[in-house]
Formats: sequence, C-alpha cells, structure tokens
Amino acid sequence: MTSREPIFIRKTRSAVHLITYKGGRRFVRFFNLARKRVRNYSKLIHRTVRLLVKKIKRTRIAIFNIVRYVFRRLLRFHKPFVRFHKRRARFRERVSALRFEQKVERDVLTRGLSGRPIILGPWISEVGFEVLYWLPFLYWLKAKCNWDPMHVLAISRGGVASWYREIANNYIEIFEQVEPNVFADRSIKRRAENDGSHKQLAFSDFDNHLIDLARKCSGFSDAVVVHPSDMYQLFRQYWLGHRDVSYVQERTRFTEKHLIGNFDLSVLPKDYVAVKAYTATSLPDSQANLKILNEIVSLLSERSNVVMLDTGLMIDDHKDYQLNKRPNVFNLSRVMTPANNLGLQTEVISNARAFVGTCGSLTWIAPMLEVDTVALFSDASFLRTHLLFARQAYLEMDAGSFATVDVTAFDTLDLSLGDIMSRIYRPRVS
Amino acid sequence: MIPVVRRLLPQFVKRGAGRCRAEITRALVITEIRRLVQSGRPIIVGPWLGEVGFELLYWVPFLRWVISSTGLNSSRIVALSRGGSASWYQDITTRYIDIFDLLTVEKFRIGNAKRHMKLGEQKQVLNTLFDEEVVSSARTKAEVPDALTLHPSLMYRLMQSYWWVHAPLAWVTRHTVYKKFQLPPLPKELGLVPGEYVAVKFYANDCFSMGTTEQRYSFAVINEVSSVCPVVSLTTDDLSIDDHQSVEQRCQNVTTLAGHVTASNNLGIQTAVVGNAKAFIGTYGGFSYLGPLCGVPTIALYEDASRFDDSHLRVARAMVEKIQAPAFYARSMRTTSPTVVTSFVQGNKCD
Repeated sequence: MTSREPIFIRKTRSAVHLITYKGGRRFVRFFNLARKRVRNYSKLIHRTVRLLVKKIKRTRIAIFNIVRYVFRRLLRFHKPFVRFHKRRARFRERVSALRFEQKVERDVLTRGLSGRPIILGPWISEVGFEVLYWLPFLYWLKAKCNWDPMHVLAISRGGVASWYREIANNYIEIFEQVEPNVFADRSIKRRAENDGSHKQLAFSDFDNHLIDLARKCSGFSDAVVVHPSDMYQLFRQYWLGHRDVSYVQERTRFTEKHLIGNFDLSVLPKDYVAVKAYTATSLPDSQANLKILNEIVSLLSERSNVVMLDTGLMIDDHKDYQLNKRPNVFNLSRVMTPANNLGLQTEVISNARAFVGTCGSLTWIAPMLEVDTVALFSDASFLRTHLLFARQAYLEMDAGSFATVDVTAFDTLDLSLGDIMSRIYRPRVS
Repeated sequence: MIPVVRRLLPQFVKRGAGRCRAEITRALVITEIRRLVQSGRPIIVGPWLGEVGFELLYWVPFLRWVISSTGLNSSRIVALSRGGSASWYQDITTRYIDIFDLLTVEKFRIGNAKRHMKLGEQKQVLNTLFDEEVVSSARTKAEVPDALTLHPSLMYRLMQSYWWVHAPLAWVTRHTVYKKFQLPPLPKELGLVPGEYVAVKFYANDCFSMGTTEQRYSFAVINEVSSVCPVVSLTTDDLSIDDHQSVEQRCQNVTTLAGHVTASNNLGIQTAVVGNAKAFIGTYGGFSYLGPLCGVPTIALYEDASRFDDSHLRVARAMVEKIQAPAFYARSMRTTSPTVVTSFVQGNKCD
C-alpha cells in the first residue's frame, strides 16, 4: 500500500475494509438496538401504566363527583318546584294586589261621579299622611270627578277646615263631637283591632260612629263616603316598595295652600322661626336628640325669635320635647286646644320665616305654604318613601325649600352644633 | 340583569308581552271613557295644548272613535283647543272653546312651557295643573260647571302602544275614525279666489332645519311655483305661539296672511286657506296632514328623513287611503327639484 497506487484502488480497499469491519460488529449493533427498543418500550409501558393509574384515580374521583352531584341534585330536586310555587304565589299576590287597586280606584271614582253629596273622611290617623297623601289624593279625585264643594263634607280633627277649603265647603270638627279622652281611647281601641297600625285600612266602629254623627248633624244623610281606607289601600303597594313613585304622583295633586287668617297672631313677633319638636319614630325620645334640639333652639333664639309649636295635648302617642326656656322663645301651648291646634299651627307656620321640626306631620305642609323648612330625624327607616315622594311633589309645585338633617351625624363625628356655629360665626378680632 | 334577559328573550315573546301591555292599557282607557260616558254629565274634550300634527292625526280621529264606539251624544261634548281650530271638531261637536279666549298668549306660553318642563316633552301624557286651570276656566265660559274632562292623556296612553312598536298600524286605525274636514268659508277680506292659488308653509322643525340650503331651496320652490300660479304663504311668525320658526317669504307674487291672523284664529284661517287652495306645499310635519284632510293635493318636503319618526308618516298614508284624499307626497328636498314641485302644482304626478 503505497501512495503510488491509483486513487480508486485506495478507495475501494477502504470501502471493503469498512464493510468488513462494520459487518464484524453486526451482533453488537443488533444487541444495542434491541436494548434501546426494550428501554423505549418499557418507558412507554411505564408511562401508559402511570397514566392509566392516574386516569383510574381521576375516574374514581369523577365517579365520586358525579354520584355526589346526582345525590345533591336529588336532595335539591324539590327546590325548583318550591321556587316555582313561591314565584307563582308571589305573582298571584301581585296580580291580586293590582286588581284590588284597580277595584278601589274604580269604586272611589264611581262614588265621586255619583252626583250624590260626598263625605270625605273621617280622618283620625296621622297628620303626616293627611297632609302628604290624603289631601293631594282628594284634590286629584276632585279634578277627576269635578264635584261641587258645596255638596261635600270633610271630617277631620284639629281645626283644619282651611286644608279642605277648596274641595269641601262643609267641615265637621271631630273634637266638637267627641271628647279628646274618648277620641284617644277609641283610637287606641281601633289600633288594637288593626294590628297596632295607625293607618285607617278599613272602616272601624269609631269611623262609622263619626260618620253617623256627621250625617245627623249636617244633613248629609244620603251622602256617599270617600274613606281614608280608599287612599291607604290605593297607595299601600308604593309604601311596601312594589310600586313606583310615579304611581302615587299620578293619583295626587299638589297645590300651593293660601290660608285665610282665622287666628289672632298679634301676640307673636313679626319675624320668627317656627319650631315643632316632638317625639316620633323618626326622632325618638333620647338624651342625644334632646341635646341637639336644645342647641338648635338656643342658636336660633340668639339670632331670631322662635315660636315653639308645642301643644301640650296628649291625643296621640307623640309628645313634645321639653326644651330649656330661653328669651326670644314664644310658646303657644296655652292657646292650643284639641279643636284648633292643627289649624293654629298651620297658620303660625305660614307666617314664619322658616320652619324647623321633627320630620313628619306638619313638616310636610310647611314647604307647601312656601316656608323654607328644615326637617330633623335620627332614624330615616320609615321615611324613605315619604321623603322621595315629598321632594318630587315640592319640586313640581315651586314650594319652599326642604332640607333634611340627620342629627346622628353630630354624634358620629363627635361634634357639637354650637361649636360648629361658633366657629362659623366667630367674631372678628381687629 | 333585565337587559340580558331582554336580549335572550325570543322576539315573539317580546312582541307578545308588548301586545299584552297594549291590550291592558286599552282596557283601562276604555273603562275610563265608559265611566265618563255613563256619568251623563257634559264632557270637555281637551284641552289640546300640544302639536298640530298629533291633533290632526290622532286626537280628532280618536274623539270620533269615542263617539262612534260609545254612542256619546255630541250635545254633551265641549271641544277645548287653541288657535280657532273649531272646524276640525265640527263633526264632533258644535260647542268649541278657544284657549286664547280664556288666556292671554303670554300666559299660555308660560303655562305651556312649565307644563313642557314638568313632563319633559310636548305630549300631554299627564293631566297637569295647567291643563286643569284651563279646563276650569272653560267650564265657567261654557257654563258647564259639572263637566268632566276627557283629557288627551287618554289618547296618548292608547296610541303609545303603536309608537313603541307594541302594536301594528292597525292598532291606530282600530281606535280612530278618519274623515275629511268640512271646510270653513274663505274669509273675504283675504281676497283669494278658491282653487286659484297654492298654499305654502315652510317652517323650521327637526327634519327641515331651515339652514342656508333649506332657505335657498324653499325660496327657489316658491319663486318657481309663483311663476305659474299665485302663492299664499301661511307664515305666522308674528304670533310665535309654538317652537316652530317660520321663514319670512320675500318672494314676488306671494300673498301672506299678515294682519289677518291672530292667536285665536290662525289655525281656522289657515285651514280655510289650505282647504280652498289648488295644492299645498310645505315642510313635512304636523301641519302637512291638514292638506289631505281638507282634500287638497299636498307635497310635504323634508331635508333629513332620519330626523322624523316614520310611524306617523305610515299613519298619514293610511289616513289618505281611508279618506280617499288626493295625492299626498312626503319627499326629500334632495330628490325633489323645484321644477318637480311646480309640475305637481300643475296637476302632474310626483313619482
């Protein structure tokens, strides 16, 4: 093998050598290949087995889950039926309430259009509902039925003939027919029959008694009665939150009230702020509320005259807050009687520069008299629907301003109203 | 939640619910109408304080339907509207009271603006204090102190189902009775010869904004029409009762009604002028429905078709078909040249 040999011989020899060499390793190569295959297959088998085990495990879990799901579904099987039943019951309740509302509205309109004399009332429940709902409802009814006020008689208490003047020319004062203590006793009895509710949801014995008395003494013997229960039943769904405020708005009319002076108010100063502080659900009898009210009246009396609208009467479950006596603070309780108290208070409010009072009752009428009003409360839970409705009504009728103050804010922030006012009105030091 | 449910609900369910609502509203409205009819007392229909178009297309035909469906005696009805539109109510009642005889224009404008603000729209969907005030004065004037009110809100409640697409066009035709108006005589002092002139009323509204293009177009139309026929412009600019601004027509051969119309007679005189005209050309809107109702060929022009609700146009077309009125075209000014309008005036078709 020299370098002189031609290239192709050298290549051929090399190839032969290579072939014979490789050929000599055939067994080794086969063995290696077999080992490699075995290794691969074993890996594959291992993996498959592992996966299989995993899958079995998972399947076991899946089966467990399915069984659990089925079991749970079985346990809850009745629920859609119960839900359906409840929804159906609620729907039926709703439909029956709507039908009932329609029936009440139809009935009351039929009575209004009957052409017969009409008795409105007797109103023996809360003043707030009378002012905010009953009177606007009657104004709406009058607009619908166009009755002649000459043939209409209103029955109420507290000397509120002026409230009804445009819808009823005749008025019967309950306290001229019934003694205040009898009224209070019968009201308690009526409420006991009525699940403790103030609302006149149905004719009570006392209502019938008052209507009979009115028929006898006024000559409205063949009159039809538009009872407060009509209004309460019509608006009940709104107060329960099932009706939109527009429903009540469509069935009420608000007009500015222009009062004719029936009382001699010459004893009062010309410029004053009227204050009516009484205990109510919205402003319960508590030391904190008493303190705030005392501070408010004190601050008001420093800057203006104040007329307190305390009645000193115990006709219902509200009582006046006993505030500290101060100069510039006038009290009318000695001239208030059961038969005139609401009428007198209305007139005092109508002449006031502003009105501050517990949210409820006469507070609702003050803006209608174009008097700027501040309504105080510490618990608004019962006021939500009334505040919403009242604010909308005041916006519509260009009433006086109506501001609400939650007195709990002073406690929460540990602030004294006097401190705030004194900071605001701190005298300038030159 | 509710929008999602609404989207998921099939169309037929939504339509069904809408239709149910419409039927319930209808039942309530009919109950209210029956209550009024059965009371046996005089009934004041109105006060109509809203747009002319709704009065012509819905309110007056609705009143006819009330009479025909309940047998209400016409002698019990007192119509209460504004602008001397007594002739529109002639087949409903002979007792008509004009609001401008009860209130000054200024008081009307303030009261109506307040009403508009309270309701948030022109439509009388609620009986407001202003409506009641007007009715109360009308009761005194008509000497019917015990009269009840059939307020336009009833009509609006009923027709809303159609406008809200809860009910088809047939809903409107079911609750209306269309008839041609009995024309009031043409006032002699106007010096117009019946059938010898064309009435024109171009005013600004949503679909005809009266910008420079629209003004130029309306001038061109009036000029071209006036070259073949005398033109009477129904502009009532000086009254400014509503929120439509008329365009002062400064074209030759054009007669205006200036000096002859007042707040309390403008609609009456305009009706007489339109009714005795050879044709009526104007802005597409409420007033354009007066043409077909008076039996006059009408071409109503608009600039932007997307700015008006075509549901009213469909009602107008159904009305034209029902009363067999002469041609009523609602055309875009972009596709209707002044020459086409002139040819329409000369009796040619506008298609």
